[in-house]
Amino acid sequence: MTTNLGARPVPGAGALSGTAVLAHSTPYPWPYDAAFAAARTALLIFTTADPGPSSADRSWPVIEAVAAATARGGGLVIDIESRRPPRRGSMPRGASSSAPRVGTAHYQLESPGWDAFYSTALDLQLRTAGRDLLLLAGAWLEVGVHSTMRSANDRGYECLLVLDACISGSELTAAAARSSIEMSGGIFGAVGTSQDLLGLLGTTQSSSRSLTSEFS
Amino acid sequence: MKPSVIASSTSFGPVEAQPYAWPYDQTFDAATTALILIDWQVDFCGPGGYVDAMGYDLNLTRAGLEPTARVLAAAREAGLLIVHTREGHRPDLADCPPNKLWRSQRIGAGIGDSGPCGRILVRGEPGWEIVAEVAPIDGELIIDKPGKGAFYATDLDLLLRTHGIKHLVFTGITTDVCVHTTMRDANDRGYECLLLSDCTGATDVGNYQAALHMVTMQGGVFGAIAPSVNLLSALKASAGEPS
Repeated sequence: MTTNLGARPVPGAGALSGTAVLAHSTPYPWPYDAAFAAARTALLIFTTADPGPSSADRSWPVIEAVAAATARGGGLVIDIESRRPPRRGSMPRGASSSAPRVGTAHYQLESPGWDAFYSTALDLQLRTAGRDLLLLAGAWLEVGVHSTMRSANDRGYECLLVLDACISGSELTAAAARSSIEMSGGIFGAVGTSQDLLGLLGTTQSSSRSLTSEFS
Repeated sequence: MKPSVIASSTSFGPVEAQPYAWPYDQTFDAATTALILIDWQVDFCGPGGYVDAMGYDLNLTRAGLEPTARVLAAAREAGLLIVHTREGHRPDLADCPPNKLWRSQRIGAGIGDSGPCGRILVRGEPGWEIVAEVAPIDGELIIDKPGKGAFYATDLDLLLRTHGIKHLVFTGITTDVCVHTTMRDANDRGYECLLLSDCTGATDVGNYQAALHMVTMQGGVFGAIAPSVNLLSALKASAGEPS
C-alpha cells in the first residue's frame, strides 16, 4: 500500500504548530490550517503560446526564483503548458515549442484546455504525491492560472496565488482577478507575494526532503 | 439512443455579440442548444440567504432576474434544453471541503449553520431553492453541484452530450464565481458559449464588469457576451427553414 494522502486537507492538521503560515497573505493567513510544509506543496507554473507572454516579462525571474526555492525546499514544481481548447471538428494539437518554460520544473504537463485538471493526470499526480497545498504562477493570470485555481478549489486543494509571479493581460483585469479570489473571505483561496513565500520556504526548509530521485 | 434527434429543429443566429457574432459557426439549432441558469437560489439572491448573510448588496445579484425570466420564457418557447444548477451540500457536509467550511465560518456565514432560510448552502433547505421568478418546471434538468463549477462532480457533461448539445447560453449568479467557472469549463470541453451580460450579476460591480471583459479577451478566450435582447431578436427571427 502506498501513502496516498489525497487532496482533502486533514481537518485540524497542524493546529498545534499554528505558525506555519504566509506573512501578509490576503484575505486570510494561508494556508487555512496554519500548517504549511513544502512536502505538502506543489507549484504550478503556467505557460502558453495561445498567445504567449513575452520571455522578457519582468515576472520570469520571479517565477524562476520561486520555482528554485520551492524545489529546494521539497516542493513539487510542475510546468504546465495550457492551450486554447480545440473547436469541434478540429484535429488535436501537440505542445508548442514557442512557450517560455521554467528550467527547474520536476516535470512538464500539457493541458488541452485552460483548466489544467481537465483531461490531464494532474489531479492523480497531486494526490499520489500527497500535495494538497497549491501555489499558482505564470501566464496568463486571467486564463490558465484562474481556471485552474477555480478547479483546484472545488476539488479541495488549498490554493495560493503568487501575485507577482503571475503575468496578466492588463492591470484592470489583473486587479479583478485578484479581487475575485479575495471576495467572500477568499472564495478560491488566498493571494500572496513571492517575497513572503520565499521567506516561508526559508523558515520551513528543515522539514523538507529532496524530490530529485522521485521526479527526475 | 440520442434524444437530440428531433424531426423538426429550427436554426437561429447569428447573435450580435462581442467580440464576435455568436456562434462562431454562424447558427445554432434549438435541438442542440441549452440555456444554462446558474444558481438562481435564495442563498445567492434572496433575503436571509448566504450572500445576504455575508453582507453583500442583494440588488446586485438580483439585477439579472427579470431579463433572465424573459429569456427563459423565450427559450422554452423555442424548444431549447433548459438546465438549472444549484450549489449545495449534503446535510452532513460530507461533500464540503474543510477549507471551504473554514472560510465560510470565518466570515460569519458558516455552511450548514442555521439562518433565516434554513441551513446555509445545504440541499433541501429553503435557501437552497431556486427563486420563483426562474423556477424550473417539470421536465427541465436540474444539476446539484457541490462546488462553483457545474461540471465538477456532476453529470452535466454527460447530460449535454447525450442530448447532442453544442451551444450553451449562460445566465446566472455570480458572474465572476460560479458563472465564470462553469463557462470556462464548458469552453475547455468544446461547447460554444454565450454569456448574457444583463442576465448575470456579482457581489461587486467591478468584478462583474471585469468578468464580462475577460470573456472577450484574446478574441473571445471563453466565448462571447451579448445583451439578452440580441438573443431574443435572433430567436424571433429564425435563420433558416426547419432542418
